Amino acid sequence: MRTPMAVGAAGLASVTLLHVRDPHAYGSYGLCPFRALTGLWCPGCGGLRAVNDLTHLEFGAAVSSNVVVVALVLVVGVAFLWWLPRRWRGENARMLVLDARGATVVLALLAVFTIVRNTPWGASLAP
Amino acid sequence: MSDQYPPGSQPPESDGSGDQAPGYGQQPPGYGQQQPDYGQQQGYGQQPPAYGQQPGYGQQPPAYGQQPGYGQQPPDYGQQQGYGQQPPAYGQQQGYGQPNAGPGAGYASWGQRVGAYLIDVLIGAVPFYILYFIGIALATGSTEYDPATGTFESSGGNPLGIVFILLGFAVLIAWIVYNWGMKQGKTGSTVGKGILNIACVKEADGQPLGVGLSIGRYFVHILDAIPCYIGFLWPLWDDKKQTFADKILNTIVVKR
Repeated sequence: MRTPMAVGAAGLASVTLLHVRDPHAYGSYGLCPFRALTGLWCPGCGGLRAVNDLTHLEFGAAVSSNVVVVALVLVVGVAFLWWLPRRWRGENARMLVLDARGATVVLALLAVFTIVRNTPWGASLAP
Repeated sequence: MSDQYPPGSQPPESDGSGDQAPGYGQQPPGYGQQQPDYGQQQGYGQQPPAYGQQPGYGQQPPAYGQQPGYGQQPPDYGQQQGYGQQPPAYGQQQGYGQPNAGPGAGYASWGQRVGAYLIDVLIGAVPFYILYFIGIALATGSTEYDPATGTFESSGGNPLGIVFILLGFAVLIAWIVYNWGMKQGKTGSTVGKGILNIACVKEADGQPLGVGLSIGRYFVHILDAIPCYIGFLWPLWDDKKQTFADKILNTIVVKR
């Protein structure tokens, strides 16, 4: 159970940090290198802001910042909660496992998301 | 999100069938001794190691003279006349018997891979930066005020500085070629991977990559870095704990 505890503590610490130190302030966590170089939104842009919004229970703002990160937080949260009892029983289970098909799907979704949020029609997906 | 354990679907430990990779699903047919259906196959792991020299083989019962090598066979080979004359593909078996064959002990964890990489980078970086900064210090000219004449005396940098800088880069390149190319290509492990008992091998047969492919893999890692370094994080949730470079080149990193 040491690994789940460490993962949980790290997650909690990250969320707390994002709650206390507001990523909406420009450059407060540095700049996205992809955006700095290309001027385009990367798939992670708005992600820290989305988590900060979630900690304030502002779900609409979170979704409009980065809907993928909101979904990711949900998935990771559920995966973590499902992981705990398995590790408690002594299984060597991993928290999240993607096989080749899952990886392809995730990468394809990220690619589509990245393209769409950089077009005029996908402005609602941009931060 | 990281975890130090092999995926649940994968047998975590060797099943005792040998040093091969049990549960190593991608093995080509005939790869492991665990295959029960060994009709005409040769070079089996159950055979005594010195099987290759069937004629005049020591343990062979003399009465079996007309069938050289027959004596060592397991009983179920009974009907197979002339089995003994087949040169067993012993070399093949030996190759698979090497300790790097497949993830018998599971895929290397992300933490192990990061640790190995840090060791490798540190070993390369220390001599490089020493030579580099000596070179910079030598090459940089100095300008001093001469109070006697009231002028500035400029002294050019020592041209030896350039030599040191180039030497630093040469050492760095030599380290990359040696460590990632030759060492990992031939043994499966860079110095760092060796210290952490992990190895990079081909997924198909569990063998090291060879020098060329191994050094190529070093540069394919650029693709892991381009999309916000997500490729380097990918082993955290990948079922085979692969980076993008691993997936492209069909390589895996395994525990030894």
